[in-house]
Amino acid sequence: MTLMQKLIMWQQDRAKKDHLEPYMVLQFNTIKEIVRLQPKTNMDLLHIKGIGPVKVRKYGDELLRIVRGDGVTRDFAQKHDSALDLFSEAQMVNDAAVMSENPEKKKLLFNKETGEILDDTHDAISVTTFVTMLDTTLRANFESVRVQGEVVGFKRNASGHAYFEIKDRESVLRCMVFSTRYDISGVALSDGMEIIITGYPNYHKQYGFGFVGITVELYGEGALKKAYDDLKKKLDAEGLFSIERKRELAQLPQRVGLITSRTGAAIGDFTTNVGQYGYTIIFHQSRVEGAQAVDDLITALRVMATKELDVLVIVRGGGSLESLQAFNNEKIVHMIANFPVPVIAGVGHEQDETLTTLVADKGVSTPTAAARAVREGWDQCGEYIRSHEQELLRNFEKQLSQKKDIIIDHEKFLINNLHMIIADARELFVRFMYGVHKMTSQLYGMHHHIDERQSRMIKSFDRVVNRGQHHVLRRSEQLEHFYDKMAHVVQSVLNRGAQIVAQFGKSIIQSKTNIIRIEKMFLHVDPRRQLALGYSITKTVTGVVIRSVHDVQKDDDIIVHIVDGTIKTKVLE
Amino acid sequence: MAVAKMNLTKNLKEIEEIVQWFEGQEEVDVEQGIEKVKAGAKLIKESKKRLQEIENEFEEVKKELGE
Repeated sequence: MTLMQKLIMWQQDRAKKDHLEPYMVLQFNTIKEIVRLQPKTNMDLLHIKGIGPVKVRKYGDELLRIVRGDGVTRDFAQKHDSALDLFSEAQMVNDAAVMSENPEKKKLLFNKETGEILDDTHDAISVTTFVTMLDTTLRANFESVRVQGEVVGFKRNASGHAYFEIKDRESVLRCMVFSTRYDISGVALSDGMEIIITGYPNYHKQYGFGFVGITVELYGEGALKKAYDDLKKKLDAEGLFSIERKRELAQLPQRVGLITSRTGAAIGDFTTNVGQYGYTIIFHQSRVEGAQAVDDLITALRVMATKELDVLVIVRGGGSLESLQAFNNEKIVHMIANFPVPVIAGVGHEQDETLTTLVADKGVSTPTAAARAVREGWDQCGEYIRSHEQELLRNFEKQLSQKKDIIIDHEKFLINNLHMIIADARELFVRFMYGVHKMTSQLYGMHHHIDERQSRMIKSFDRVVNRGQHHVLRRSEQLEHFYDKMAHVVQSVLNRGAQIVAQFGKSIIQSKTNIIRIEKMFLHVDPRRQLALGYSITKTVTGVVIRSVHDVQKDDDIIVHIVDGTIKTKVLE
Repeated sequence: MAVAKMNLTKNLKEIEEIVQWFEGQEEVDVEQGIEKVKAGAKLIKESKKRLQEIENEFEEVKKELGE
């Protein structure tokens, strides 16, 4: 409990006791000053605007005790739970509002009771100035208050702004929610609903006091469950959860957007389980608890939509329907459905279902599962490579072993053939050897035979030779004898020959003389000499010398030989 | 990083092609087969390297960028 709250509580309590309005005990600005200056003594108190000697006498000790922080809350704090406490603050503001609406009363009262206010009454301020002060004060002091109550008189105007009151057994608070905020809250209010409205009080120049709601959330599991079911049905009808809408995640996501709370366990669960695959994780902080998370999530989604991402991950741990309600917000569901890249949602624990999980392209139940969804492709890629590595080698080995088999087959074939050839060759060799052996023995036989023949031949040759020698010797003797005889004959022949040659020479000379004589004689009788003298010889064509007129007939051709040629002519008569 | 990603995706495709090549061959030409296996082994080695632990980068988007 803050000092401000303690002081306000005390103010309320004291006012009740003294049957005064709270602002008459202490003004709100005065309480603010006390909070700011933290007075330690009565003198300190006197320096604060709005506290004079009367008030110091009346409340000084109590106030100083509250500022010191001892023992003040016991008698009243226990009756105020947190919500009521806040409500009291609102009540106090209400009091102030009442006061401002009735400045005369204020003036009177202040005149009666507190001399130190007199200055203020002298310097009256305009309504607008005061209302503005009031509004500023209210906003400054109640930036974000959560107030729970039952909705009464709910309506929306033409612009869509929501107007209603919330009440509990004793009090009523006027509320309004701007249409954009109302839509973001994603709650369809109606009378009788128990809600928690978060916002700030204001004082409007024309409409007076009101509580401006920033978020509206349903209170109680039952109401939340019903709202959840209704919205789920509606979005389902819009087709947002259909399988066809789901986009496939990138197999190897590189740039991963992450929306979650900086402080939760989810961020650790996600980052430890996503693996070290060299991602760039672009993180956007967002509250994730309750209805307040809606705004953060919307901002985060808007920012993330401008980033270059492969996948967006939204995670938070499990919780009640109430704590998870931001993830069941209609606006957020739509934003996820229309997010530029696939979205993985890992919200809650195993049993939790949120509309975010349903609309996500990949909805899983925990941050750890979301991490697994991101790394799945990478892991598969590793397995894929390992299996392909093996497959590749197996294929190749198979091919090689087939080749090997073929080679082995060929080898066997060749060896078989070789064996056959060798066997054939061996057989052939054996036969050959047998042949050789046979031939050898034949040769040997022949050799023996030849030897025998040879020796016989030699023997008979020797005999022949011996006989021949003997014969030759005899012959040569005969020849010698013959030669002698022959020589004698030849000598005589030669002698005789010489005689004959000498005789023959004489004969030749004689013959030569005879030939010259005969030649001269022949020259005299040569017919050609006669022809030169003018004689002629006439022949028939057959060469017969015509010696008589009977040798020719009329018209026969005849040839006349004269000394220097022939004349061919015809017999005319 | 972007380059590494492209390589990996490309590598996977090429490995797939090699494996399919083997599956598609009635009778593998051993020389060609060896070349393919060599290429495949290289791709696999590169891919494995990429899949080894690479530290993630963590960037936080500052709130003021959003609004």
